Amino acid sequence: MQNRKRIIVTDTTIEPDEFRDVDVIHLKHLGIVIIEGTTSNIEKLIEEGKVKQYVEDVVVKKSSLVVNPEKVEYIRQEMPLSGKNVKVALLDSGINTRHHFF
Amino acid sequence: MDFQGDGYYPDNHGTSVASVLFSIAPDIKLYSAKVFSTKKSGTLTTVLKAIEWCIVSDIDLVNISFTIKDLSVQSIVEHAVGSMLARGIWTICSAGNYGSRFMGLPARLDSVLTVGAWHKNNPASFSSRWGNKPDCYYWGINVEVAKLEGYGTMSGTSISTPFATGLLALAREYGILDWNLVKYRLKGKINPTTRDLKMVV
Repeated sequence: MQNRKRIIVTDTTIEPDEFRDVDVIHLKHLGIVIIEGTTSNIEKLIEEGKVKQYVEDVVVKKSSLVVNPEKVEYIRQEMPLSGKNVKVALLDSGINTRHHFF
Repeated sequence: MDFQGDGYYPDNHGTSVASVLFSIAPDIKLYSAKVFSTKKSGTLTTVLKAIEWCIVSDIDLVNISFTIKDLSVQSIVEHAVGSMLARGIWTICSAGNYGSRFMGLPARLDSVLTVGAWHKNNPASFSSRWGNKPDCYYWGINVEVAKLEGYGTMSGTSISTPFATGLLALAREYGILDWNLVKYRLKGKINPTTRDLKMVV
């Protein structure tokens, strides 16, 4: 199976319909187009200059989502710890584990 | 785990508390014990079942962001929390939001770390105060949190408590296991950090 690649295009002048051999998702409210396909097909699009302003997709890890970041940094005092292997129970109401924060 | 038996439904309170905890200690293994019913209230028996589950599950830390008002059950709650502490399970609980008028359970017990809410413009705040409690204070007014949907703010000792639980999760990972020393070092502190526990890089 060929490697697949995903890019996020912010060039609002492009016409998604003209792309073939790749999957195109047009987020009309955001003015963003997501293009997914094999690495070679994506690179071909870029080489041909069909997409200009774009970024490659990145993985968003749970730990990169933080509320109160300044407070978190203050508490940690640069300690490279994250609670690994620590089991914590919350006696509380239910948690929305589908929230993108988690 | 649903201890109320009415289904595990998500709620703002639990989601918000978890978001603060996860921000400080993102790699913890979280055990969610739903002890509130759909009416947002629970019973002592539900709490006791959850505590039993914590012991069986070999939990390290228990975050309790609620208080029990009926002090006639103090000996039972004290026994339950003491049973956890005897097994090395630390309980961190909110002081409650009754000012100097009242402090409930388990907040008023010596065997827990009781956390009050602090704000620079209102040091006394609305935190329950009783005897030498709370043990320490954390931010408790307009704290940024994840809500059931999206984000928002939350005030009260419920949301100051997971800051302390997060700090102690880091401490446990660091290898600190002396509960009495932890309580001694955090005593009276406002927004304590890893430095207050003498954790060094």
